[in-house]
Amino acid sequence: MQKIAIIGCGMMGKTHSKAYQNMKDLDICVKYVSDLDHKKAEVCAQMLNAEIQTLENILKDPEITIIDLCTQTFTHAELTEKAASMGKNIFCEKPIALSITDAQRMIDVCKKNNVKLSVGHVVRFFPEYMKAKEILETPDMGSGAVARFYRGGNFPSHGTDNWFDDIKKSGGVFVDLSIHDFDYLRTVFGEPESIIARSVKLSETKECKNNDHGLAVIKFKNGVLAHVEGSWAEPDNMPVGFHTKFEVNTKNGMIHFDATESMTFNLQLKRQQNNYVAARPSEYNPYEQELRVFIDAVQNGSEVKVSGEEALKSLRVALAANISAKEKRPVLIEEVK
Amino acid sequence: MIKIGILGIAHTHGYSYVRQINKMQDAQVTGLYEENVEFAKRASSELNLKLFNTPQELLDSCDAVIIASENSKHMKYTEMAALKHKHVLCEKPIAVNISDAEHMIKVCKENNVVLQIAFPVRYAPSVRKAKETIDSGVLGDILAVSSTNHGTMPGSWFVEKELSGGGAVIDHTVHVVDIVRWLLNTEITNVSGFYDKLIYDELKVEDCGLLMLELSNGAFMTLDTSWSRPKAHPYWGDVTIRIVGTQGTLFIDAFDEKIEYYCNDKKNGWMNFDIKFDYNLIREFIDCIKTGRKPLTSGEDGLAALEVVLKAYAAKA
Repeated sequence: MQKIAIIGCGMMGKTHSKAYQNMKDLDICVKYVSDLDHKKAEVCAQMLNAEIQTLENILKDPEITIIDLCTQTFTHAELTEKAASMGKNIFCEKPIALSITDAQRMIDVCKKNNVKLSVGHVVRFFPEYMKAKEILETPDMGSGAVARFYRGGNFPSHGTDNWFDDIKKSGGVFVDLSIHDFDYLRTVFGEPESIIARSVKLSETKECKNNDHGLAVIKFKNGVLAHVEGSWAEPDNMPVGFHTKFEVNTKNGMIHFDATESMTFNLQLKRQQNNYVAARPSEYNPYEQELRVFIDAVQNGSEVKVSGEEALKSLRVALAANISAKEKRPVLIEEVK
Repeated sequence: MIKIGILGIAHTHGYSYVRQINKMQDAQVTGLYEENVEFAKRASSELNLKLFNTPQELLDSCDAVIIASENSKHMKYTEMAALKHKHVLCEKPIAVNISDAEHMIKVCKENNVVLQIAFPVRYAPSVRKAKETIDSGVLGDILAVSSTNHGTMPGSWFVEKELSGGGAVIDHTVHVVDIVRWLLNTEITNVSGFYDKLIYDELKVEDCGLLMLELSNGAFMTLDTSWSRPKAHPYWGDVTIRIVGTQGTLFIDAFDEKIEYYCNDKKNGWMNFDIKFDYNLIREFIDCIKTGRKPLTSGEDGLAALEVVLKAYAAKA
């Protein structure tokens, strides 16, 4: 039996709690939840009937085999080091860290302590992205040519102390948001060679409080070109909040997806608040799937699906975008040390 | 009655321009001169056009010309027309190099004739509405633009560099650059990006391009110029522009009004039902001829857009 502790009960901690609620068929137990904000911890504790504990006490409990790290990005490296040295397997939310050094430290400490490390690049588990990869891998489509990926919505103002707004804590829109697309693109087209990017925060184009927006063009080693747009620039409370969109052109065709065109449930109500719903209800939960795969790897000693090394490679692309945006020049991915 | 001659129709946009003029009371097409016998035959039979044997004969028949020839011939034809004091509506891009474009502007100015560049999407109601919206200030300061001008690979002379000046980059950079310069009242100060031949092995020019542009107002912009629409796609391509401001965002998809049709006996497709960009473009030309004013899309606009293209070719990362 795997006994799990969730560290960090913000947005992702809650999302993971919901995912664990669906795992009644597994021989697992979320024993603890932990958050510096007691109110946030209480929400997850209630959802899972778990005990609220401090990180120190959790790590001391030998029953705990898995630490599900849902804290702010800048804390990942230090907490992973602590947990791994206590022999805990670690599922870490994305992005793995804010620097290559930190990410490498996390990989090394987990290896040294013989524990598993996996990172929550959940887009790999999203059904539309899985289907897209499957289509692109059919011989009919031919090899890739030029792709466009959009991911955006309003600013994530739910973060404690508005930490997403602090580039030293979140890495900005490329490192926190577009990293999903960088990671996914790597699974489809292999490693990128160079990137040209600009972002509102890093290019310092205009005074722009509390939002970020980034555009990047990438050349992959196999010649494929890709455009990645990541945005926190949409106004709050819009009918279309967060959404994703992609298009991939190949030698013999193209695929197109736009989340706003895939709404299966549309509701309009005669009232002032929350009067409009457009959604795609689903029984499939990608967060649950990524956690199931990790739990299975811990249980059976098999390989994790998204390793620390994989997450580091995707981080490298995002950091290259940041450098390009700051220095306003094309950046080779391998420049990023 | 404004008499308009068609000087070259290698570019199929010329067909649409003739059809627009045929709808008008105050203009008529006098005929066509086209060097390429095959293009000439096809156009004259499809559009019921009188064929002239020389450019000069065509010029003698009209007050103004529409030049829809291959790009590299724009300069030659514009010069011929201007020297005969005929107004010019020239297909985009204005030319294939800066000196040709500058000469076209100069010769039209010296001979006091209109030089309009065919940037029809600038005449799209959605784009005009965007101009009003941005000018009103509701979007705040403009921070970033991401845009596309996708198309199907056109083949023919479009892929012969001596005639076209290049591939997807020269073909599809100019429209959106022209629109954005106007919308944001800005110039493009820096160009970088990637382009390559990635889809059609047989080509000698690029079929894909992704550009990163910096604008004089401090914003940045990407532009996808790719001929990446597969032949199986129900529509030829797109012009989309996403604009992010400090106070809001705006997304333009200029050709998105459509009826989808599914027919057992032919290819499925999307059909537009209210797009009159070319009609508006020709109305502008006729109005400028009548009033002597400068067109909304001038030779200078054509030159500015071409400069971005040439910078993109020079800046391949």
